[in-house]
Amino acid sequence: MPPAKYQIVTAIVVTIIVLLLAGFFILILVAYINQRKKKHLEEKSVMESLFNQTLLQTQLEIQEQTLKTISQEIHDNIGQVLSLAKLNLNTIDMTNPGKLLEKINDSKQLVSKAIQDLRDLSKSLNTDNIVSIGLQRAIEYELDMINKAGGHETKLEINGDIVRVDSQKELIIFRIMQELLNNIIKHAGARLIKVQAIYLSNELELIVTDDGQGFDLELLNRNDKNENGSGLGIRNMHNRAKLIGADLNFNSITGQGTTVKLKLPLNS
Amino acid sequence: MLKSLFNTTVIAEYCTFIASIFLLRRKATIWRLFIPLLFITISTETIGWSVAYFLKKNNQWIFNVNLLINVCFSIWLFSKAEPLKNVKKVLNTAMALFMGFGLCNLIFIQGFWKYNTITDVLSSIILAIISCYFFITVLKEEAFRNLFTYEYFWFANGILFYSLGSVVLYIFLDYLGDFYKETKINVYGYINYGLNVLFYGSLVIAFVCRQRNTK
Repeated sequence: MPPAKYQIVTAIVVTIIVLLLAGFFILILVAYINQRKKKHLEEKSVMESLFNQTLLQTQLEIQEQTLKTISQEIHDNIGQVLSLAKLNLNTIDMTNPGKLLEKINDSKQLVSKAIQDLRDLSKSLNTDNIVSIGLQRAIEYELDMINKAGGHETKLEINGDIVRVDSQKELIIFRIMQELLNNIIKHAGARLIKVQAIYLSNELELIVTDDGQGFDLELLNRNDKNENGSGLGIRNMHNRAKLIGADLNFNSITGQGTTVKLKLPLNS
Repeated sequence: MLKSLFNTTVIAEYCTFIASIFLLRRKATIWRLFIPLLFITISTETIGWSVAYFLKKNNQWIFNVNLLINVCFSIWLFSKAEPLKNVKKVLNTAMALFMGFGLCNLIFIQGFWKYNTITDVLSSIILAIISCYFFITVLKEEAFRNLFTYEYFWFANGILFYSLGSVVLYIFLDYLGDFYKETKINVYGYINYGLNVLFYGSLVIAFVCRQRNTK
């Protein structure tokens, strides 16, 4: 039998083996890609769980902050005003009509102020409010409260067209902003607090600047909780920003104030 | 005498048929159709062997008909797979067109008395493409699916191996037949046995998966 025939048959057999190996390779590849898909889905599930956990924690912290603010307002402000009104009424001299009318008018004004303060307090921020009024108004309100408390001058600048982002992201951003403002009030010794919101087509940039005493960023990173052991450390704020795809940057020089920038991509 | 009937392929078919009876219970639904299909296959082998051995007549027509039935069933079963539900109409159309071509080949081109290698090669190409498309679709699904316990994966696995191997085999069927007559080396037979073992082995695994998934 001519060797050529054997060669042809060998070629046929080799071709079949090659095709079978190709089939085997396809199956290995399919199994490998499927396993990677499983790993990816597991990681995604863990991240979603972490995100939900963080969101819940954020909501709780906002609630806690709201209660603290309310308690402080009642103690420092409304309580004092009502005490003063009571004092006025206790010291009324019924025999002196002129003074009597003055005291009653003073007491009326004090009670009106207490009522107004209570009304303002009732609009205090909780998570549902923040979701309904939006991030911008929520920050505005927060700055307003700081202004009213006295001791700080606040400014809010908005550039570009305001765009609402996902409500969960707004909650987390608000919590970060709230904590930044709290830190400025407690530690910075600043007079002016400026918040800029810059809306670009693909990005939201929030810049918080103060003219306080600044701090050593490296030193603070080592002790990343405040003196009461509560609130968000800088690392925590970074982690939360990262969770929503945002970038948080601290810039501070001792004696020259602090600037904090938060950048959130808008199409993520 | 029976040694010529019970070659590796036929033994594999009988084993698969027995496995299908035990593994494919009522809850297996459409997969239970493998029982009559495999019965038809082993009947084809037996009748074909009997016609050739006892009646000394051409038995190719039985295998040609069996080929059409098996391929149409395979395409139809693929159309029932969840990952391929979006292309169900395409698969059913392909099945109808293939059946049409197969009948034309059987009646007008290669005829009843010659094994319809053109139909076989075409069916191998179609089934290989469907199997690969099935794998791609499964990978593109959002949800994870454990392929090693998914009956359609093993079915597609068996089909793919058999199709890839048999394409070349049936293109050169006549050549390998002549080679066997001259050298008595049954190249076609050995390769065909191997491919059938792969195919029926995968099918049995598919039956096990089907049984577990429909408990």
